[in-house]
Amino acid sequence: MTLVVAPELWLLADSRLPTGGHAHSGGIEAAVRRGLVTGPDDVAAWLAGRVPTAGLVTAAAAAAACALVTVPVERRAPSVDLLGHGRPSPDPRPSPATWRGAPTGGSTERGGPSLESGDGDVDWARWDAAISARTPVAALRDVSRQQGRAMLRTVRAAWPHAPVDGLGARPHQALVLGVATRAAGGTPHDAAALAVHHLTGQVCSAAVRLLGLDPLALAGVHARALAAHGPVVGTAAEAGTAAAAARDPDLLPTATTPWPEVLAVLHARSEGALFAS
Amino acid sequence: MTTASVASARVSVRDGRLTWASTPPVVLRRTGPRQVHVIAVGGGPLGGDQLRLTVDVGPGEQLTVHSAAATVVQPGREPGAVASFAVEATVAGEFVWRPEPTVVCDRAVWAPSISLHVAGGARAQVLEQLVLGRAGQRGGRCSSSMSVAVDGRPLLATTTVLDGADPGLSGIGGTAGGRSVGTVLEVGDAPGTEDGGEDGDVTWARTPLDGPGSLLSAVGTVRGVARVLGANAERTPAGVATGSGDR
Repeated sequence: MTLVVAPELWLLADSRLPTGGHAHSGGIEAAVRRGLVTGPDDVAAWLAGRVPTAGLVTAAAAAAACALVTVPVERRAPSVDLLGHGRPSPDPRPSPATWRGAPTGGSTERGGPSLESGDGDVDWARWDAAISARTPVAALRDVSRQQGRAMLRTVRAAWPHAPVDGLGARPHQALVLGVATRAAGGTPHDAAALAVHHLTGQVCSAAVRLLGLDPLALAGVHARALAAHGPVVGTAAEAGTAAAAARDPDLLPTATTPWPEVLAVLHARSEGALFAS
Repeated sequence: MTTASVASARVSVRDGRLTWASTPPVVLRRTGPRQVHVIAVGGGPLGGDQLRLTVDVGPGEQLTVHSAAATVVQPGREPGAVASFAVEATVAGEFVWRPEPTVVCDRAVWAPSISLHVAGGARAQVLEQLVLGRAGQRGGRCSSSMSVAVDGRPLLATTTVLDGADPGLSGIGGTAGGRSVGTVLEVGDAPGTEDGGEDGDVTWARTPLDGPGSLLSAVGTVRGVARVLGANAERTPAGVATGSGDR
């Protein structure tokens, strides 16, 4: 099978997609304000602590949400019309079945595959509560819901078939990202990779804006972090897929590091911050 | 000790009766009408040890569990062998878990966990301090898990990951060079207020959880963290209403 990345995934990876991510620093502003970030190496150090812990949790939740929505095999488009005449598919793009890791038997209807949850409706409230329990800092729960709501609007416009109705009005962003990834033809691994990419991108671009660091150097930090933390994406994808298969959000990872969590509270209580988190 | 220990202890308060059972190396000793101390005999824990404490606090009952001395976790014979201590508590009354600090020595791997199943209206407090290494050490690896459900609904599921020998986890994205980490978890009707502060010794913050409870975290020197925990150890008066979540 030829491995083809679903082209719409590039849109989900784009930081210009209007989801409000530019208003957040991935927590690093609080460290910058304490004089602990002065160069690109410090940004890489922040990511080395956060991506394998809090980043893993978010990525696994996104992967789980992606795995929870599937393309039923019976939705395959008919290859003959009602009169029995053979008719080629009007869609010139590759079938979703040839996309990397996508389940076979996807619809080839124009407008993308119709997505439904695999076996009955997903009980999103349980997954939402599991993410809240994994986000002890109230300010970060609020940030996740703000970004989730913003992304929801974008997803509804870009992928009207995305099954987001059960997510509620202010879902955690990881769940929206996961469902959107699936709607764009991606896999749980893609959802996890996008979550890590966005955390890394937020931290790096915030460091440029806060400290006037060299954007080229930070692009290097971003690229090296994605390469170095590739195994985190794999771990997150496996954990999220396993939790989704078991329909058990308790199986999602729970790791975090203490100092950034403390700083997140202090940052939310401080005045004059450039970034919301 | 040359072989790993697998041991479990249990303590229960039901219908006004305090009962307990334990086997070395974890020994329970009654130290008050509603108080038990955990006494670790034979030193340790060592890598490979699997220790468990099961707690049952019945409706209207109260129980406090302390430890007699600081726990010093040493590496076992097998490099990287994990030592674990699982506390599982079912709480329909009021439960306080307040052990002395735990020191994770170089090359030790420590995986403590506490799991609380709390009935609606019941209360629990967990107060813990971890120390990375003895004097002059960087400290070993630790993943400390806390899982709390109130009336079956998840309130908290978090694992604090520390490693004195890992630059990522001991750097600014981890402990920022702090040698000690402290936690005060309040479950029940404790006020879910936000608070925090910092000085040269310690940075700390308290945040309301998404439900009836709050979590205080402190990072810094051993003395600084101990000071914050001491100042926040007293239970707040019962009956103070808390926020009902952030949805």
